[in-house]
Amino acid sequence: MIIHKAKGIWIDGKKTMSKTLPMHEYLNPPFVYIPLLQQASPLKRIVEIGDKVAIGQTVALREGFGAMPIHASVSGTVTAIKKVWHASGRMVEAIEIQNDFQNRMDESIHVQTDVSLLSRNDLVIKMQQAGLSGLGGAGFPTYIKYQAKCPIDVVIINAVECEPYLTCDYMLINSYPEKLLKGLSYFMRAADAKKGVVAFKAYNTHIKESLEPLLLNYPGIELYEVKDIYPAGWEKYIVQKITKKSYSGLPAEAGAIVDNSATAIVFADVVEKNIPLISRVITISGEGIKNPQNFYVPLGTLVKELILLAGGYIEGLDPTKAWYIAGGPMTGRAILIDDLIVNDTLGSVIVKPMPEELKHPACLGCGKCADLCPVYLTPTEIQRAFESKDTKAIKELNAQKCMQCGLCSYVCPSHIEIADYVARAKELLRKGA
Amino acid sequence: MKIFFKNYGLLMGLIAILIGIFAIGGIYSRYVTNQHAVLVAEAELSRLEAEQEAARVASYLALFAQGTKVEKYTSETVDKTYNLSGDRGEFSPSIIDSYHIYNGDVEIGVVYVVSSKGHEDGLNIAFAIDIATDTCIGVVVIANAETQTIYSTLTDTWFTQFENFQFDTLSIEIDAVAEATESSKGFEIGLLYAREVYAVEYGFEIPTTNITIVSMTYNYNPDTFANAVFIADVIHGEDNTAVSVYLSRTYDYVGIVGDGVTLTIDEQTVLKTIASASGLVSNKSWFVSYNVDTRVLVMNAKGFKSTPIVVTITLNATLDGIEGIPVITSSETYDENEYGDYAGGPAPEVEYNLINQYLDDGNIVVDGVADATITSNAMKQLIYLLDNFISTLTGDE
Amino acid sequence: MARFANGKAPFLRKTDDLTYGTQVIMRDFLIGLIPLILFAWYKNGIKVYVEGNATLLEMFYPIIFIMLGGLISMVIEGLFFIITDKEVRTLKVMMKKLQLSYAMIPGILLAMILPLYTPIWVLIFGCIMATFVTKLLFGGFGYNIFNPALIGYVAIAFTLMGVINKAGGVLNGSEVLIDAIAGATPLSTLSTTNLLSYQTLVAPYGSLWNFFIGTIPGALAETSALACIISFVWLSARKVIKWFVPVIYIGTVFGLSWLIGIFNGQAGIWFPTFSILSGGLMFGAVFMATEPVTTPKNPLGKIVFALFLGVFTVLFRFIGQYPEGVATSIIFMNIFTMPIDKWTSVIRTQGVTKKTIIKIIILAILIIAIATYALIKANSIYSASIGLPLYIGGWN
Repeated sequence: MIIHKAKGIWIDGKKTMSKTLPMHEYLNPPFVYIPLLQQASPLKRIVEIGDKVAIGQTVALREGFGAMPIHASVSGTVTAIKKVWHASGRMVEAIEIQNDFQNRMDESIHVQTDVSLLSRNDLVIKMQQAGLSGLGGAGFPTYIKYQAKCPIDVVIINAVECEPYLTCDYMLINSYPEKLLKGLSYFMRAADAKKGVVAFKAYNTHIKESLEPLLLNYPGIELYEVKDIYPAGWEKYIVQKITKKSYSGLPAEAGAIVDNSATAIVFADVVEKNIPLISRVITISGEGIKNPQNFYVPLGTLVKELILLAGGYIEGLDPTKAWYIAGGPMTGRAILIDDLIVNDTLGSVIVKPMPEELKHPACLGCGKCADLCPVYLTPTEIQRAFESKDTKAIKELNAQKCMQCGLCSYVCPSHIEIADYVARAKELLRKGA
Repeated sequence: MKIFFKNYGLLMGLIAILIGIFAIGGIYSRYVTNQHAVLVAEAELSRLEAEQEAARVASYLALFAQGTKVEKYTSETVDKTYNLSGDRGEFSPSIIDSYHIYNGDVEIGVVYVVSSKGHEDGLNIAFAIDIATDTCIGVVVIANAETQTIYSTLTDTWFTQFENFQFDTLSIEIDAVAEATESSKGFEIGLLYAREVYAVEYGFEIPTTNITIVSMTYNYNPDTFANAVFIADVIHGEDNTAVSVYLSRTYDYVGIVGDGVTLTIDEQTVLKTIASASGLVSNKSWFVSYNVDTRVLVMNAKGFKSTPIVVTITLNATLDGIEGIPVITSSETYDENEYGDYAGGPAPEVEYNLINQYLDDGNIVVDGVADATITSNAMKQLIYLLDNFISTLTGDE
Repeated sequence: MARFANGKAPFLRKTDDLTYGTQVIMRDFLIGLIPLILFAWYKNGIKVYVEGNATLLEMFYPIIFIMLGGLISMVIEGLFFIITDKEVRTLKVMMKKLQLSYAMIPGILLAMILPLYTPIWVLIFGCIMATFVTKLLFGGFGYNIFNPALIGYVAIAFTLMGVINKAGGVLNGSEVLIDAIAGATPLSTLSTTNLLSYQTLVAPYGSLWNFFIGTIPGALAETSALACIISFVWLSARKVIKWFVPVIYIGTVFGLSWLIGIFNGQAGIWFPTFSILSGGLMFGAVFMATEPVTTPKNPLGKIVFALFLGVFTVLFRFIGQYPEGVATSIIFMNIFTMPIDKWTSVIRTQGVTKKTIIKIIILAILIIAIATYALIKANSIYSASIGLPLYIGGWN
């Protein structure tokens, strides 16, 4: 159909850049910083300076909606409460833990012997106890999804990873294919779903090759190929493709739960070994990095250290003419100071020299932004409404539905920051409402 | 200066370009427009010509009941010279266009557009000829430069004589309209010429006879001259027999003088044509009767009016002169166009004037009366005949 | 610690690749004009020259005329920049600025829709109207409301058509030399005779094949449907234009004309085919109705816009003073680009809901009403109507 035509376009993924080197495990940084912020919620600190902490010990609590504990990722001493740069683009208070390199485990970490006996409710409680949140980038507490009242037919593992440059999920799955399927089967039990699907991008034949032989042991789990287009990893898109149903709020309305592949792998450890969410894989890539690669690191590690491990910046990189991007290049955020810490939502850091600044003409009105918008917005109209501060019009134009995939800015032939206009219109709407 | 150019050089440059476009482009577009206007005019002209040609061709085709197709072609050139009427010399007509007429694929006719001459050059007439019957089936006048008041006396009825005009006739003669003799003659020349070309192209044989006039004289024999005005000595027949024949005032064949091989009907017809065209004799005056007992001779002369002038003359007893004054009955009026400047008395003053000149001195060379030329000429001829008649009677020649 | 540059997501842009961007779109657009320009040159110059009806200088006139249109527009825009912008003092700066505003396009398009033998000064006037009045006064490239080339065309048509005619400006260079129908375009024949007859509308120009090829009277470069289709394929493939806009526009005209034909007892396919092949419809549909700046930006808006264009074109063909409805309807619809864009954006993003249904109904009623009016109007012109129900016939 012309009005709602197949959206998304192919974007050069540049993924081979960080795929050539194997995943680097860097489990013992000298310091970790546990940010006192999860999603947009501030956390309540429950340790004091000087306290000794073990791996997996609770150091902070999220309260209210999505209440759950946050754990220490190394063993050592709390040495300071300090502001650090966070992936949200702001400085955030964090608990500084000095690593004692003894790898002491909290007593809560033990091998679960009676895995098969765990009830659906037990599994959901385990999610909460482990502080499990979505590792894809949103950081939404996972257990909330499993408390949904709607009957769930299918649990979908999103291994699409459609942001360019990012290979963290890919590397993780290739390292732990079995764990992925285990995690998925536990999710299915937690959701009481009969079916599990692993969605991956068409070109990722490696994932298919490593997972397919294992599927025999996991009845009800299927693989699903999505097209190599952006934003094919968008939750709504995958759910629509797999369930053939549409929804407006949560995927649960369509009888589906979507989890990131990294979350599933962590969940396998949560269930079997009671290890909470304390580490993740991060891609350090971009044309500004000497040896782009993936790191398996405890949460709270300084990205600076990882960049040094990756050979540092390329020679002659002018930082004032380069971007330091937290997250993927399409949806990420430019960080001004390279003093970032790894948190649960940070899948990658991309360092990329800016392209040459060209003078661009005014909006030509080609309408490519409207064509490609996955939620059928007309960004140019939203821009017009925003410029005249017409909140009624912004609302009518559904600006709040924008998921900030960035496609409109990406395709704009006149290099207009149209996605930013929509984001600001959204902001205006929130403030005005 | 440098600063001025730095500040305004670009501005002036652009304005100069604009003016340049305006000027040079203007000249260019004007040139193209003019060029175009010429072409349009030419195209319009040739279009009009083509239109007229198409109309003409259609009119030719309309003459043939069975005609379905017209094809233009170039006919053969035939050189032929004709006498124009009224002693205006000779004229060679030419073919302007020629067309084959087809019924389907069968050629049924031909059209010759002949450029003839009437009073003026440029009397262009198309003659449509039916091949099967060797007949002119109609004419279309393409153009004429005649005096229109005169030309218009050629009526539709007059033109009907061209319909189904058999070429197989010995001598072609078109009825001349009295007021438009020159135009009529032009048509006749055209028709003759068309027949000549047709004969060359289609192998048609123009009927001919072998008869030539050796000499022609007036008949002074009172016994016969009433009907046989002229005597012609001719050579005719395949073996060139010489014979003398009588001809009437209108050059019709009357009879043979003495014995000899009589003329065929065709020869008689041709003789009439060549005799009238020969110019050897004049028929402006002629004898009517002569009474030997009373010596009264009656003569006629054709003046301007259709009714001839009647002159009654009594010869003297010795038959070598005239007794008394001739009696002249004339209906001439001298008030026609040619007499516009005549200043004398009414008729028959001119007639008496001339005959009295003759009677005074017996000299047949008399002076014509100014501005009464036609009447004078007729009377001069009458005097010439009268003098010869008297000479014949007296025997001194 | 290093300080990095700020930026806005996404950090990848398609324009990073220099084979993509507005300048490439405009370059492709200009390439898309080439078939038409070449055909215009062939029809009005080369063919006439080969037939021996023109001199060598005349042969080059069509192509020089079109090129001059572009040049004049650039010069006018350059002058405007020098006067309004203090930074523009050198040729280099000016050329850069001109490059970003695609100055030559209105002039070239305008020259293409003018009759051959239009005097140069008329072209300069048209270019001033197009570039200066319609484009620059509205804020330059991207801000103009009306299609610059069409405004230039209409300004000339309303004020200087007599001059063009007097100068020998005819609508087709070769046609006038062939026969008597000089200057009369097929649609002006329609508006003077009011007869839907193949004999009067199509036969004088040969056959519909001639309409397709473009050897019929008309403006310099707009007559060839074939060249337009070649350009259409190229522009669609290069994603310069949306393929469905010309298709819907032409389809609407085709359908309505078919109905008019049926109502007038001409059930044949020739009349609608004739309708879409004449009056520069193809040219307008491919190059003017898709002009991005002055038409709606979202796809639904483009569809609605094309539908309106279709019905208005048919309507203007039957009520307008000027037989060609294309230019008039496009300019007329340019006014409504903004509201259409706004409404259709809402409809498109919200889908059919209680809030949007009223807008959908209003748009639908408008289109249907105008289409019906056009049918009635056409019907009252052709009194031989038999098809329309009596009650509709009653109120015209």
